[in-house]
Amino acid sequence: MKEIRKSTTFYLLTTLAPLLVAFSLSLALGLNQVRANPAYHATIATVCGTALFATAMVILVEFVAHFFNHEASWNTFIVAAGLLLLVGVSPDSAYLFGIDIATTAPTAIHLMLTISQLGLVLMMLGFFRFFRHDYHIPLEKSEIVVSYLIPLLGLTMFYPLAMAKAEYVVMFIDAILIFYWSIRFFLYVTRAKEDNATFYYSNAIMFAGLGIGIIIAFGHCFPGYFLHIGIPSLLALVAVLLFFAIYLTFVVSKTHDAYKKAEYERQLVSLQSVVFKEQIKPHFVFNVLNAIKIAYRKDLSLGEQAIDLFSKYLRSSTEAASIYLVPLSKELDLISWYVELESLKVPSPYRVIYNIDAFDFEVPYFGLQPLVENAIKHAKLDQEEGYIEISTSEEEEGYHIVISDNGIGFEPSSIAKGSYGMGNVANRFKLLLHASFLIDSTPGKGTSITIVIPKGGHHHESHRR
Amino acid sequence: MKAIVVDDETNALHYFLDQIVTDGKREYHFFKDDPKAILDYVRDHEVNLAFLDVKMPRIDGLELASALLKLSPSIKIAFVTGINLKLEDIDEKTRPNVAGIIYKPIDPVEFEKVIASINDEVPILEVKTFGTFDCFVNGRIVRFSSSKAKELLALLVVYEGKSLTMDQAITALWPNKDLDKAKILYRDAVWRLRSTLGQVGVPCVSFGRALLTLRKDYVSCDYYEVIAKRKRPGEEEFLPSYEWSLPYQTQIDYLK
Repeated sequence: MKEIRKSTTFYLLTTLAPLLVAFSLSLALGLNQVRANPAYHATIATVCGTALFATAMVILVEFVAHFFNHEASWNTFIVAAGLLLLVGVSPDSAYLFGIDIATTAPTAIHLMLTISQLGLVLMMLGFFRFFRHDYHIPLEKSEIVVSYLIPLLGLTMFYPLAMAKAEYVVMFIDAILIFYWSIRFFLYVTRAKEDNATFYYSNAIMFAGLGIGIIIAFGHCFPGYFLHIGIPSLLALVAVLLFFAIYLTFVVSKTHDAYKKAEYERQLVSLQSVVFKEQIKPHFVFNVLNAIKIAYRKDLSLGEQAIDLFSKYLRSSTEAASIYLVPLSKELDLISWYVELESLKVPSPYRVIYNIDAFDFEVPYFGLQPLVENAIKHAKLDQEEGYIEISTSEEEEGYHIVISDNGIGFEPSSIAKGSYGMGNVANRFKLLLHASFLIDSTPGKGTSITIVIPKGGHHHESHRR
Repeated sequence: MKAIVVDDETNALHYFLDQIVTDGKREYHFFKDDPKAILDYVRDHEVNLAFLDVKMPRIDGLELASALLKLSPSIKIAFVTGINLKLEDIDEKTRPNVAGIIYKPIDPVEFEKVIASINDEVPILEVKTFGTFDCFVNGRIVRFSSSKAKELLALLVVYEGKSLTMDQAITALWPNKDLDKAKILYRDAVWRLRSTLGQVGVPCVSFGRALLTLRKDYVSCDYYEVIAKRKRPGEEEFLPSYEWSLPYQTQIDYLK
């Protein structure tokens, strides 16, 4: 909970900051200059326009370079192209070419604005694709169709509408869509478990880019009513801001990722070493040795079986130091050896039921065995009808594992997080598989532990050191 | 087939001879960790397989393996060790010739698996259905972890390779249980059977989705011989412990 709260405030600022900067800049410059003055802009244009173009070229080169390095994807290329069109072909950039906008034909201006807005839509689509592909943001098919279709429709209508001086209709619809999507992505991000700097910064860039696009368009649609800002300096400044945001994104996300990886490894090692220590408890070993001694007295082959069982179990324990994940079948074999060892010590009136309906997945090594061990030790399954049931099944969202027993149960609120070693197991399931872990119990009726392992691969491919 | 067994501990060699070497089909020569004696022997005789301990005072098992491979590139190596040796720990040049890693204390089942893999033998489950129902692998009886798992295998045997559905199995094995409970018990039996067959190394059952099939290539059964020769061997009852075997018993009676 704390992590998410920190992200919310921190990244809220990051996301809104560029937009705020854009608006405040336009406000400041607008107050200085209510209407476009070619003379004023001609001077600023030379400086800022050069900066604008240089920045745009650098952005493009950077993206293309990444593209050929196979680190970027089509998405970044589309976004870069869109950005270039938006910034480069807007009526404001006319100043860069020394074209006096006042003397340019209105149709030409409208055409430029159409192309510039096309760049905006392209950039927006690029971002949508990027968010959907790389972050798997759950979008309904209908939402996707609408979000792609409306801007495109609007674009085709823009030119004729512009002639009829009704282009603000399209602008309004686009603006609503844009803000809806921005908020949707933002909400997803704050609820998501991923703490990804790239994503937040990209969202920020999208906000900023859309802000510019809207300012340009509205400024054109409502000269006088809305701040008519045909100021290249604004665009140049925001473009520079965007460039640095993107650059920072890569740097931050790379160090962030590296840090996260190191942190992850450290946690994994520390959790796993606890498993290793827990398993070779002398107490357990002596008990088993004693049971083996007794078994040998009864029957030589029984004693031999006991030794085989114990060595298989012990070998698994020593392996556990370096293996993090195993196929379910291996863990179940481990559990069956453990149960047999336990019944050597104390004949077991309880049954273990393997209700296995899915087994094609991995679990943490010694991830289920401690849960069964708990049930045996604490559930007091003395009666004839006592059982421990291990069920697995495959559902839409992932694999379900339920370990339940009909023992004495306990008051769910009474157990501390770390007691009975379940904390370690829960942590490893969460860390390695992003699994959810739920313990439910009714005193007198029994206990059940439900684990859901989402499908979709592991967080890191480090199941073997 | 000629094999050598190398270990610095006499007890280990003795155990090997006593417990593992159970038939006369294979020739075994035992050595302590005397590299000269071992290499001289391998130089002069054709040895197919070498069981090597790893941690020995006079020579390391892995080094010995490399030396043996130089003399006889086709020799197969099986490491018999108490340490946690993994395939990745073995030198790349030696790895292709490694037939298996057997952990001490030696499980005869694991041992037989290694032998079978070298001879490209198909592991066979010997099934005895008259007077009792028992299964053997290389003469050793197979212990099932539950009676229902064993009964399920018996049912598969009489199905002779035809697919057994979950419903058919439940009807035969849990005729009086309510369906939901029976399904859970079915899955439990299936899992236990799968686990047992996996541990003895005979993949004689194909586990499909809610469908089980016996693979007759891995099974040698007295019942099949009776069917083939159309002649009953003796007076013993067919699968006496299982109620559903009665129709089959009747069929066999007609064969006389």
